[in-house]
Amino acid sequence: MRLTRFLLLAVVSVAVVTGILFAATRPRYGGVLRVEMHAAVQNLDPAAAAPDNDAQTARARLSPLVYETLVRLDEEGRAEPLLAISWQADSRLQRWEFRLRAGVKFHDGTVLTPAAAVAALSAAGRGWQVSGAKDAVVIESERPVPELPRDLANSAHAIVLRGADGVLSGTGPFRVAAWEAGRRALLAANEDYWGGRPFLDGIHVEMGRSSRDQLLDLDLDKADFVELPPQETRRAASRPAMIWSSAPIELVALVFDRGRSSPVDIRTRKALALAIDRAAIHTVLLQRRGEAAESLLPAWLSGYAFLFSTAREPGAKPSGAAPLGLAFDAADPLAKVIAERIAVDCRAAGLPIQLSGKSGEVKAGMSELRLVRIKIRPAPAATALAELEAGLGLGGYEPDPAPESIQTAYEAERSLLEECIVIPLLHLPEVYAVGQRVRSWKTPAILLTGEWRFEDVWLLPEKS
Amino acid sequence: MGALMQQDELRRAARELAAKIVDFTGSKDSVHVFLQERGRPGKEEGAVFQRELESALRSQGIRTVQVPEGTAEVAITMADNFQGAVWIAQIQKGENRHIVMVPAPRSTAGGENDFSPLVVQVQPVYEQRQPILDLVRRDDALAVLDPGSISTYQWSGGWQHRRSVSLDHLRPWPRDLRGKLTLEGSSLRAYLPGVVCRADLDQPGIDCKEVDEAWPLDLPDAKLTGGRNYFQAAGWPFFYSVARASAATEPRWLFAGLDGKAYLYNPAREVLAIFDGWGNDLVALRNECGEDIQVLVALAGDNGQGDSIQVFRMAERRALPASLPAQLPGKITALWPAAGGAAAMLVCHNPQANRYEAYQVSVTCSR
Amino acid sequence: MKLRTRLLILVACTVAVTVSLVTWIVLASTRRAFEDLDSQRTSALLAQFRSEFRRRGDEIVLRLEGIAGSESILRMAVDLNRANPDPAPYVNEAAAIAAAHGLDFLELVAHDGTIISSAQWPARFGYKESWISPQVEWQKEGPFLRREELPGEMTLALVAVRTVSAGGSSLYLAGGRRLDKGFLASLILPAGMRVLLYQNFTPGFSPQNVIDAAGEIVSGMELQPLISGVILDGRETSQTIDRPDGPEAFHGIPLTGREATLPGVLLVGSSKRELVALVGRIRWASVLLGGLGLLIGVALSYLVASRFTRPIEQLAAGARAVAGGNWNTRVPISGTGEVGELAGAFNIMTGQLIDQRDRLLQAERVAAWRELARRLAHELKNPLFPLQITLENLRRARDQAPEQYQYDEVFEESTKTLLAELENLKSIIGRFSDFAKMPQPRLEPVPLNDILAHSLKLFEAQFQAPGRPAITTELQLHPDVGMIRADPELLSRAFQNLFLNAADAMPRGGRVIVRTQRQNTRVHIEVSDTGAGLTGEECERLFTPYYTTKQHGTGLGLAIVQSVVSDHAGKIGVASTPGKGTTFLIELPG
Repeated sequence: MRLTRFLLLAVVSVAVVTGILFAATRPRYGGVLRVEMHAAVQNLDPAAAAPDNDAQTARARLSPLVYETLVRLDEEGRAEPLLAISWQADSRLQRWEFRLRAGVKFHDGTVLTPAAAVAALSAAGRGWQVSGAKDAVVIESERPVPELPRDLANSAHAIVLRGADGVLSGTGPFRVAAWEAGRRALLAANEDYWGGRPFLDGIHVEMGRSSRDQLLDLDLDKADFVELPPQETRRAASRPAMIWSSAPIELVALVFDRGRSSPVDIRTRKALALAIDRAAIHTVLLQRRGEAAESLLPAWLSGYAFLFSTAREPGAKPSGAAPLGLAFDAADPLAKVIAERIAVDCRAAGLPIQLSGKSGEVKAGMSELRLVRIKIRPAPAATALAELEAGLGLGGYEPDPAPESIQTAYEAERSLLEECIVIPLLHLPEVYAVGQRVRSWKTPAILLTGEWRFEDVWLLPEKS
Repeated sequence: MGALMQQDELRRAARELAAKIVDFTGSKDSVHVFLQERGRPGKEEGAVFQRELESALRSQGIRTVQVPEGTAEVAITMADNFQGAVWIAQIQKGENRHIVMVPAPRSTAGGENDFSPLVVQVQPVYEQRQPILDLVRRDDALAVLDPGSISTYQWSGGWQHRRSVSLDHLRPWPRDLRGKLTLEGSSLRAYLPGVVCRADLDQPGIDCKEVDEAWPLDLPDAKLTGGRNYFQAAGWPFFYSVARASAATEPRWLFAGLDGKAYLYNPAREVLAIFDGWGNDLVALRNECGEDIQVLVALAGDNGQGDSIQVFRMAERRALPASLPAQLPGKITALWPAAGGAAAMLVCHNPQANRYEAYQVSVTCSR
Repeated sequence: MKLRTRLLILVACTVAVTVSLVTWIVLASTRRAFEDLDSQRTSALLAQFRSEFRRRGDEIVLRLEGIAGSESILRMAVDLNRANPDPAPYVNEAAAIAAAHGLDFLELVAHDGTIISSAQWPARFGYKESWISPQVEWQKEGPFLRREELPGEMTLALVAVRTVSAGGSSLYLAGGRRLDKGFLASLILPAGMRVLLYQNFTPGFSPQNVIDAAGEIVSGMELQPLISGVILDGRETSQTIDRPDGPEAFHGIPLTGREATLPGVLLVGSSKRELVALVGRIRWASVLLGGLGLLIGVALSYLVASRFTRPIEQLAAGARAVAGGNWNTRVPISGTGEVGELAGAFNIMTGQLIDQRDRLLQAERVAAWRELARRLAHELKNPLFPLQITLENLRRARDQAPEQYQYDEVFEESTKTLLAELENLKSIIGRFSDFAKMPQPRLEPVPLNDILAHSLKLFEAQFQAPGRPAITTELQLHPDVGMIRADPELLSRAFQNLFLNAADAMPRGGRVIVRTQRQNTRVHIEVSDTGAGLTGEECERLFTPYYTTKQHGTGLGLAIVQSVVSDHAGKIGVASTPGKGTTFLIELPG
């Protein structure tokens, strides 16, 4: 299915539909958008490693506001011009030339040149041969890279100017005005932004805030943009706020430890997979947010997800099974209620489950079975699957992001699903509750891929 | 929305898929190829691909058959994915099932963007104190149907009243009165519950007959149920409004049901989909924004809020939002197709002004 | 047995019986009193439990009805009554409502039994609660006990169900509170009593399901028979259980619910430690008292005995001494009572006996001397008269015999007669001498039957002598008689005297029967004749020396027999019936 429906769903108001008569309303300049998140981002350096998935994701959201790439993905996942206005490849798709946009300056005033782009891309460590031409950057690879533009949209390939003092400078609509690692940040509008100054004067980001506190701040009008856990959607609907969400880009799944070497026999794994009532979890616990998953990659990303639909059958119950240990992040309320429901479903199917909640990310080795939440990077199916496997600790195959490898991706995913190494449960979107004053002009503030586009965000004046 | 696949892209993908199918079935087999509809592709695109695929299979020695008598059955599906789309072939050969797929990516050349969201244009036309049932425009002439008369106006810096002819009817009107006005040339026909009146835009006079005649809706032979505010057509469930939701050879209709839900039917009167949360009025629109049919849906507002309208694109069995909702100042009292289906005429009651306001609603695709 | 001993035994028995009886009565009364008290306390505690149970149940019903009447629940019921309702928005309602109303459990259940929301097990939404049946008029049902399953545990719950009707179908509210240690702790327990609760969660008995007010798991295996019995029969049952710190009486009450098996059993325990201690104290007291009583009784009996039995013993000893021949026995006179009088009388009696014996002895001696003198005179007169005649003849002959040879013939005849009569005198005097100097017996084991047979055989010739009526002999000698210690010569002599006597008593013939018999350590010899018999006076004087009923004889024969028998530490007696015969009875130690 297309991303289109999610694009427009992303701006559907749940409670209050503001009067949008495009001909009559124009955006207003000014105001600081107050954003809160639970992750603690230490730095926005695209090249630095993040301590955990949450911090990695949060940085991937904030970084593009400051550091831009040559190319970015549109709402449908297609590469669109950003710092590069056009590109072309040779017939072998091994040599790509990207024409740089003129008139772009870094935040420190330095003009964007091919040399700066080359320096930034070379530091990405992808084994490319990056060189500069007159007003272009040339990237050469030993292997065909048909998806290079999409790859360059990854914020890890942002064009960053590293100053002698180690200070980073980007070209994005916002620049870092203040930074308290892991606590808060203030991004100020880039007055000289090549795409036009953003409507907002700035973005204030509070990090390390719990979901409960974020929603409270939204209620108290201390925040404009907060994270909304999927299971809180209904409660949030009673608030005078809008709900913005991305496409389902997060997989919630059960993973058997040690993958194919799991001590749990395949009969038990299959029985467990069949016992879980995903529909109930999706409908009730998640209030129909996201979708029940029968595949690892969501349908919008792979296209072949419908091939994995299976009916929920009781199946042959393995008798006398010893309780399986299920580890989950006790600090994650959604993981907790899902784990409890899984325990109930398995218990009804004769498969006793021993819940083991531990605060923090659930790592391999904690238990025979783990409930994990893992972000799916919008990428070609093979790449996304390989990253998913690596993230799940299953040791994936070497992805070949060529379009032809859709078959390989399907085969690999089918293998994992048939062996019930991973039992997909849900595909969740990133959902945000947004204050009444927040508007987005032409582009949605949240893309289907989860990316934040705040350059078109503006704030209604405060009521006097 | 995505343009139709280029012919050569289809051919290339078909050949690639055929090669994979032959790898599994062998080159001496006969296969039955059929298309499984899952929202994509469009009928035409799917038919083209199927032809190309069968051609490619034949070129590799496979015999294609039209009825499932072959040794293998191949179900073709096109599904969207992040890279664009993928053609999937589910091959059933005896007890064995095999799946092969080939990508159908969009062009990776930069700079192109052939999609733009729709924008609902709501243009005020006319307003009055009396309820407006329907109105039609022709250039600078306007005919307004209200519960008691048909009034005509001429634009001259504003709508200048020309004449009103009273409607002649015996039966009392239902509480929620509905009426439709059509204009052919200068000939006006007003459809009301149990009454059809003929008048002329340029001429005075009116001829009303007490007759239970089918209304000019997207569904033929639909009549307003006597004394009620909903329609009935033989063999179909009652409905408030109906819109033809597909321009394809096989028509589909969206019915706004009496239970507040919208139902998508095929000609076999099978419910293909049910949509919740829509209002009772919907209208099919045609425009040049990629797809051929959109549906303009009235959405009920919350207490104290006016209704809104939104455009949905019908993608097979799904209704995908194609525009942002447009807020209106009050409750929608009428919504009819207009301008040959390119626009809609909408009437809503503005409680603050205590007037009925008529708007022409059209959809543009621009960025 | 001595009087003292008897008295001691009597007193001891009296004391023991009395103390035992009193102890038993006291113990029985104490036990009954304890049981009555225990029964009352148990009943009171049960009434308290039932009252508290009822109160809690009513409270639960009240709260449920409050919830059922609330606007939010009504709206929920209306929502859920629509076609194609969506229960998802209400999945978390139960927890909040339960918390607000102080309930431990609350489930919102749709008309078809599907759980909409569960406070105690939130993840169970969508599953069916099969026990909530639409056939039951829940509005009329009171609270009841049931087993409630929670994640990872089971518990007992006091629950009630109320319905909210909206449209055609109902929404069920099933709510309640735990019946656990908290409930037990709310009961006011008399001292020595405790309340346990057995939670019947498993098909078999499980000791860790027994809890008390502290919630600790009590070692419950010892309660297994009682609990299992209550569960099986469904009735109240009591049992006393021996515990290391004392027995404890348990009363098991079935706690019924709506399920087929009992959800739980209430156990009211009443310690019998105090009773046991009291019983112990009573027993010890009774033992002490009994012991003391015995001591006192012994002392008293000793004193009493001493006061009474010693004089009596002295009297008895004196009597024995007197019986033994020591007639000069005197008993001390102690006290002035009857015993003293008795002692005085005894002394007087013995004194008189001595006097009388002396006088009797004197008289007998005189009589015996007279008899001896008479017998001597008689015996001696007989040989002396011929002597005198002979001497006179001799003188005469000397005087008258003309011829020497006539005188020699007379002298020869006379000397023969003189010599014969002198021999007779010698014999008589020899017999008297023999009697006078009867030797002491030389005891040795001798066969009594043989001696008797031999001695009788010596008289066979005499008994069968021609010219006299025959005397037959009959020996009835029992072989068990065996050997006795005796002097065979003296004994034989004594037997011979008896045979001689018997022969003398049957001048016209008869029969002599000799019998022997052993009776333990004594042998009995009977020598019977079929003579004329003796009178009573004759029997009394028979053994007096020189007393005879014969015209001749020294009268020493039986005296000699008596002497021999006496020397052998035996006894001799005579039994006779005039005209029938006489039997001499001899008893000898064997």
